[in-house]
Amino acid sequence: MLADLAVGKVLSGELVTDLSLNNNNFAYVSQFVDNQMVMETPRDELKFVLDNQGCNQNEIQLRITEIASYLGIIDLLDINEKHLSGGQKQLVNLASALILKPKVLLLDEPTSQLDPIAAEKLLQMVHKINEELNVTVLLVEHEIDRAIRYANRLLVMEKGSLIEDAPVNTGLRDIYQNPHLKNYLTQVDRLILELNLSADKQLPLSNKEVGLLINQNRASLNCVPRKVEIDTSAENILEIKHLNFRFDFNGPQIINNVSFELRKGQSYCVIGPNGMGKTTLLKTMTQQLKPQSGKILFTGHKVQSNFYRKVFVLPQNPAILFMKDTVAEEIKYQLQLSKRDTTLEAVLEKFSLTGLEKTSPYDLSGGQQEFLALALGFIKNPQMLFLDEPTKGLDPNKKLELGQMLNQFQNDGGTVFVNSHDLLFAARFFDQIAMMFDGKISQFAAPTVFFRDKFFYTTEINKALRETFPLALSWKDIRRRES
Amino acid sequence: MNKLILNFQKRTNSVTIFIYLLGIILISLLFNNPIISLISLIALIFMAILVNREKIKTYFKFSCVIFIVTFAFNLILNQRGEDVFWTFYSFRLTQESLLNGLILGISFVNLLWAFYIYNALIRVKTVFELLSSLLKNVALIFILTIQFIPRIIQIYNETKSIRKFRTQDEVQHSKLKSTMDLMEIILNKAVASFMNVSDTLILRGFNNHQKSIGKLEYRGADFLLSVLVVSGLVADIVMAIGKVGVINLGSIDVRLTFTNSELVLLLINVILILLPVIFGGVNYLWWKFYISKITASNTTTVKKYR
Repeated sequence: MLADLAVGKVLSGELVTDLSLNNNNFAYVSQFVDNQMVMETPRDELKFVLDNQGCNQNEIQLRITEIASYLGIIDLLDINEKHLSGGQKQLVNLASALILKPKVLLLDEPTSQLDPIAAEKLLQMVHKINEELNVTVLLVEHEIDRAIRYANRLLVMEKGSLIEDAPVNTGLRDIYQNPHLKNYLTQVDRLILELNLSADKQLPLSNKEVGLLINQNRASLNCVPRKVEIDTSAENILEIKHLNFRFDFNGPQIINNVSFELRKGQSYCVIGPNGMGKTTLLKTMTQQLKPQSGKILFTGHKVQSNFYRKVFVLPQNPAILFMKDTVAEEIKYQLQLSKRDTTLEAVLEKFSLTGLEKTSPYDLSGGQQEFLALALGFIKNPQMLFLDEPTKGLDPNKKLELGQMLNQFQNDGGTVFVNSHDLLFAARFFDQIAMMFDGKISQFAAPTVFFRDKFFYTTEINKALRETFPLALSWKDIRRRES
Repeated sequence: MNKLILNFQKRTNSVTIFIYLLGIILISLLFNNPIISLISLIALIFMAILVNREKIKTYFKFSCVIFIVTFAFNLILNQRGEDVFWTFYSFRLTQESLLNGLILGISFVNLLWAFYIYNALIRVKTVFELLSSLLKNVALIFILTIQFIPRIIQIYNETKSIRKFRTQDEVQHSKLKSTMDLMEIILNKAVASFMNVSDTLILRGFNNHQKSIGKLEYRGADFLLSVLVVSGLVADIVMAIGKVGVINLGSIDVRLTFTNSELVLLLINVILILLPVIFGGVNYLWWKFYISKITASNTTTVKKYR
């Protein structure tokens, strides 16, 4: 029963539905990609669901054939779960949810752990299910960029209350009027609303429509891209030379002869799809994995035991860092270890954790966990920060706060190295960007230089405006000319 | 995994695989004749290399440590025997205690390697199909354990490597206290992961499953292999009752004997242990020299639409 999944108690009100509340009518896909498969292969997983419903062999065979063909996962059916990418796993989870032919599909941030391309594919599939099979889809998301194009209705929740329930066009325009929610708009919609060019247009707008609108108003607009100052005289803090790593004897080269240098006081972001070696690179650079060949020099010397004192790593799953039972204890412990005289209250305030002092770190939301982990890192005050997918689970406002905090850290002399597949975040807050693919890393370049010649792997604003303003990467880069 | 073993795993059902695994565990438990044990050990290690090469080095080191510990403890605890090699104060090293230690060590290591193979070949599906219709709660525990243990190991490794960046090396705890702290942290984290798996089981309908559960399809190969393994095991048990391949451990007259019956027993055991390779090998030869010759075309397009 679906009700078994609810944590807590309904104090008042009731769920009104003509459907009975069970797995046959309601299917659920969670954001935790890795924890949703019980069996080793997708075929076994689908069979497990049907076995539990008492289906016979013939029915099991037919249903698996049907769903696998529909979602295009026939080739994945017998692959071990360990070898599936995040996007593939989420497709299998979707198949497991749909195999019982539900009437309502509930999706809890299904793309939060996927790279942009995999996320797009998954949402297209969800759209297909909604359009072709007439399945009602309720998607919970804090980043509406991709999903909003497929939605009919927009609901906004704040502090446990529903503050908006309207058709998408109206909903988006209402959001724009709310200063706290403005950042949730897609970049292209935000640009058009900021420039006041959309009076008669239905939101959300496509990149093509926005490109056309901007082109028509080109004369009155100006592109002011973010300026990045590179201090070429700064000394190297980290040098990577011919680094190699693979997991199996004859396995693929996860890091393939990678060499680069990081300068003190700069911020670096490595982007790229999931499974291309970004995390392995970060783990190897920070000695969590031992490089099989190559050299790593920290401040000109071989990495020694004091390296751990001078750097801080925020892993993809921030919960790995936690060691205490409550948020307050975590912070106090770090303050004591790092001998900082900051107060607990100041840290809680700075990282939006006030009121959560007595909460277990494991009970925090993804975004709050990320901020708590970050707080621990900033308390330590290292020379260099390594962050692996720090925007995962953060809403747009929190992403801005994170970006600003990283910039502040950098202004104070710190160096930042981040892995991310959030292209807008990379474009807005980092000095140097590189792309990782198949174990190789491209040269680091300033955001405008890096994204200028990218066709697919770039920000939505760049895609929409590449003909008119090729250097524009976010809505902020386009302004009205002052007459 | 070796392609012959993969072939065995793909072409047999859960019951056949389970009977095979049960068989090799029984072989490791029943006999302790040093020659039989030693040759069984070689066969088991050979199989282990074929089923999962990735962790073989670590496991080999682990089994060596277990062998040495068992051997050394036996030498200390059991000093009976008349052929004394060496005396040191009250400690006596005899031929019998050496032999006893060797036999116990090998037997123990055999069991460890049998479980290594079990671990590599067993699948959640197997446990589910075998147990869930009769013993739902046992199946649940098995499923959670199989899912849970690798996750705890992963959490342990990740936590151990990442905590250095938080605690530096400034806090001087005793090693025991530090390990206890780490264990507490890991258990806290593991519980969260455990809850997620349990949620998934509910979502997949495990708590309201119907009577028709885990139906198995039997093919010719399943019957043949099951009959072979069961017959081999019956023969093994009969011989074990008749004290063939079994020596009196701990006694003062441990003797190395090897009769014709023991040779037959050895052959049965080796064939049983290597059964997946033999089955995969026969299938491979059948495919290579017969099926592939009569198959019209092997191009990708044809294969896809065949």
